[in-house]
Amino acid sequence: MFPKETALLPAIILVPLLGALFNGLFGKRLGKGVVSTVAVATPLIAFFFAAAVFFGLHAADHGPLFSDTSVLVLKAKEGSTTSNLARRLEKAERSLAKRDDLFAAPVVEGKRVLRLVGPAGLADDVRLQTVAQRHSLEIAKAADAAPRSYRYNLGTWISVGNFKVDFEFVVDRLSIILMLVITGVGFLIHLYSTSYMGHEKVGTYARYFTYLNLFIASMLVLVMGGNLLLLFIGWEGVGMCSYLLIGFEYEDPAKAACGTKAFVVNRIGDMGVVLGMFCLLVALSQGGPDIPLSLDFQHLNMALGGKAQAGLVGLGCLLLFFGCTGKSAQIPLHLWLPDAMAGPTPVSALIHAATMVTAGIYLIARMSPIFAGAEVIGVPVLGIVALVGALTAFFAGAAAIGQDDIKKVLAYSTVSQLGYMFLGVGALAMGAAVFHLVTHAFFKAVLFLGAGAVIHATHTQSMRRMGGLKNYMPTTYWTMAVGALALAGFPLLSGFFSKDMILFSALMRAKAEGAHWIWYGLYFLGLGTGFLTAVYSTRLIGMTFWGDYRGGGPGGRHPHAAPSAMASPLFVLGLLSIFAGLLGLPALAAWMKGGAELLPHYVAPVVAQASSALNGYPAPDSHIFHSYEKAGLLIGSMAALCGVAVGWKFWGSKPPSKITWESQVTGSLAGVRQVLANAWYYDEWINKRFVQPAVKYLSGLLWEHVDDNAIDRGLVDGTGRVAVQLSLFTRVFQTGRVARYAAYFVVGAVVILACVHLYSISH
Amino acid sequence: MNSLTTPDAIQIIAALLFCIGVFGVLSRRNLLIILMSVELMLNGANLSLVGFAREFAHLPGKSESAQVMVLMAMAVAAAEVAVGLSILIALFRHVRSVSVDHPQATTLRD
Amino acid sequence: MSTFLVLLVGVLIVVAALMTVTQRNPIHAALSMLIALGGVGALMIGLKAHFLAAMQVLLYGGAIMVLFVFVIMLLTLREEELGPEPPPATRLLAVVGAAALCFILFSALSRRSDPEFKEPYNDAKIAAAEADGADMRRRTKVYYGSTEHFARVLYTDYAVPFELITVLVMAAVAGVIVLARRPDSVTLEATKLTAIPAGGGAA
Repeated sequence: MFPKETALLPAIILVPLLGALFNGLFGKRLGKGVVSTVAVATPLIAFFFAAAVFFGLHAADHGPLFSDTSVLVLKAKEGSTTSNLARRLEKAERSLAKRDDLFAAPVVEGKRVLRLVGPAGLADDVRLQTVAQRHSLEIAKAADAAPRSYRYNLGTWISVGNFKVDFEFVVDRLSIILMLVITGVGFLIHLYSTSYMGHEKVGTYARYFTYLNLFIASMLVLVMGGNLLLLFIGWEGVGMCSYLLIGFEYEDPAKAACGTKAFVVNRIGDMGVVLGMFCLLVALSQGGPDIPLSLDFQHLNMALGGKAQAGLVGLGCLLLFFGCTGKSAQIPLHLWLPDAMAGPTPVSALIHAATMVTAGIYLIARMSPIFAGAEVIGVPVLGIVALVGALTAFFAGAAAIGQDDIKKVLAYSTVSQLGYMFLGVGALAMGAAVFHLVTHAFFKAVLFLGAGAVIHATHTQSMRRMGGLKNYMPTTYWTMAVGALALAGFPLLSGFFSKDMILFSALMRAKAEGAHWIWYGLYFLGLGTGFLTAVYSTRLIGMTFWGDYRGGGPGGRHPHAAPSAMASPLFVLGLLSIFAGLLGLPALAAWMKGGAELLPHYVAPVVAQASSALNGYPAPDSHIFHSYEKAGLLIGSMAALCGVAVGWKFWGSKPPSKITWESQVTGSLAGVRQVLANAWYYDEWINKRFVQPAVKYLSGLLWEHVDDNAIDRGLVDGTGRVAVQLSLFTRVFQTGRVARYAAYFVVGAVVILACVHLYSISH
Repeated sequence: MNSLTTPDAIQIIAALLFCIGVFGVLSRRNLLIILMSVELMLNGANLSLVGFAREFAHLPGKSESAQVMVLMAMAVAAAEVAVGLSILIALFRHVRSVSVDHPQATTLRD
Repeated sequence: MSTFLVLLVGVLIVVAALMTVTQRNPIHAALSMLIALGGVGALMIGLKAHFLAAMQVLLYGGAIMVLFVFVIMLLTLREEELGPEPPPATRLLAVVGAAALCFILFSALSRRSDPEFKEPYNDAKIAAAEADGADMRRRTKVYYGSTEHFARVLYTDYAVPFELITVLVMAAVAGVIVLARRPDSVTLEATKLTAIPAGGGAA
């Protein structure tokens, strides 16, 4: 039905992949100009392809951008005998096949029914009713349909018995949003990088862009994968690219170690993903021997989703979430993200703000029908997700206040905002979480890129040495200020709407069934985090741009403004940070209905939403909904404004010209500050409790007993010893005395004859 | 005794002859005696063959091929004895002994 | 040939063979071997292998025995040059080995009385076939085992082995001449073996 757009699917991935290959193989020889052109062009081309797919998708739904599609069901009338029902359905299907505003899919639901998907209002269609009447069937309107998706199958990968995995790319509403973000923001960051990395040697330059393109390709595989396994390929791919890019300056062992740390922590999470996959497969197979074992999302969601599931499915979901904590830097596996700042700043912007870290959110959203009902020993998995997210958000936000390194502030901020997204996911508000994902991509990217410009200009990363840069770098200042305010949730900026939507969904979740007080608690936790976010955002801007310049690092005496290649992405992203809020305005008044909550509604049909999955969830029209919504907006704005005010007071109004910040915080506050600066000593705790024992026991054990003893002495030396022993044994027989040999002849002859004799007896 | 037929007897004698020859090869130290024991073994085999030739002579097929084989074996035995004895003489000229245990004579060592 | 006669001659053969392998004096052993091989020849006559019996006597008695006696006389072994007798352990092991072999052969031979053994011996059948002579005489027209029969078979069906045997004997003759030559000075120099130590070395 949609041939040309479907063909774009592999192209979207191939273009960056080929770019990576080209730059990797030939970049060094062809010079920086070629490398940068190719590298910047590929995500741009991919972006255009993705946009084409986007428009194709919405055209395929046959209606205005966000109109609903309905599911109509043709089945036997109540009370009628269902003999030759299948034949009647087939006939009806055939006569309806010619209509191109309907999409027919036979669905087994007890008795076979015919499922039709089409625009809303089709239930009243006269022609449809005539067809149904003719075949003694009746039309029933079911829930809103899942809208169209593009599928592109490259071929079967694994086919063993019941288990079948294809290289299938599936692009639906959820994927396309992320694809646009990845390629769009990716393009801007590539553009920025051409200037940021401009002073490097050709080889390094080419290597950088190779990795960056490869990352884009892997991330696209991740979001376009039609089954868990293909997603996992992308998952691992981005993990590897993250390692390569964090440890980009590998000659510095500290930086290389940071890359390794990121990779190892990610790997631990990956183990969770793999185990989760196994659990889900086993859960599938428990349905019977004929069930096709497929990790295809549609199949998994249909088979395992939509109902309360305990046991294996719950365990599998929990394990998958553990993997998400690794990739998206939540507690307990968040410790790699601050260290990942060792990589070049555009890398941090792309990978650790906009794209890779959102993979966890994407995974859970993808499998939301399963997560919706999953429980583990009575506790809903999504509750755990929300709890972890909120806690992470709060503690990381607090840690961000204590950081002096500009990038570390942003790193902890990212962890914190990701916690917000997981809170939204846990409240089954996938749309809100995805909305925050998009806005966060914009304002975090602008903050990181701006930080990169600042670092470039001042040759230092410590905010203690910055200050007063607003006069030197105005564009950077204004764009970063906008981004910081969006991050803080300043009213009417994008971050405000997305953050508020998440908090609101937590609040509404508290009104639905189960564990209300926890959700209220999470709401207040989120609110507190919002306050902290505003504080550290303002602190960031204050210490960097206000007051007097404190000298910068070596060679940073005279900071220069950002060059145009760095400034234009900042500009674009700054605008997006302001206006992206339009995608998710709350529906406060009736006149806003048409344009309200565009993004969440767009994504809603593809994911499980609280409104449909939970009992007692307030309806969008109810009074409770509206009143809480307005209250939430107000409270959220107040939290943000309070935070900005606090930040202004401490770091904006009277910035001292000296570098001793201890004069600002004295006494017991100094101890608090120390704790925050060390991020609650989490790294140290992990090191003491897990890493050191592992090194001491596990690796020591493996080295001594396995490698040294078993392999070196046992296998290798043992082989030699066996050979020697054998030869010593056989040596006895070689006396050289011929008469003895004659005796051996006889012995041999006796043996052979005995064998022959016994053989002939037994047969 | 009445169940022991002639063919059986011939085979038994041939087997005994062969085994006595084996005993001689294994237990005697004098090379000449050893050669004689080898002859005994050969004769045992020949006798067995001739016995079988006679036993199956009435059957279609060439049972006289066994007798031809025996003739060939005898010829080979004669040649072998000649060559063996000449080796023995050559050996004797060197070490002045026909004992199999003589260290320089019959050990396959450097 | 009646079984009794066969057994009688068999006893003779076995006794003579035992004496061959146990006599210390090689001449005694050779003479015992002559008796044994002569006995075998007698058995061959009883088995209607007349030509072969003649060959047996001619070859073993006339050629091989003569060779042995020649060599024994040539070597003029004195008592102490005969070498030590083997220790009892070796003797015992040799007995064991030979006995094992004998046991296996006998147990194989004992299967000849099994019912499923294809063609059990039938004296009458053989006699009848012989009297009839149809098969054999039709093929050979001569008495089975006789020289004429043998010749007919040897020079037609088995001509190639016959020729090859000729070559073998030729090779043997050549080898004997080369091996039994008195070594010249060059060979003596090259082999450099010393004169005999009395008696044998390590067992």
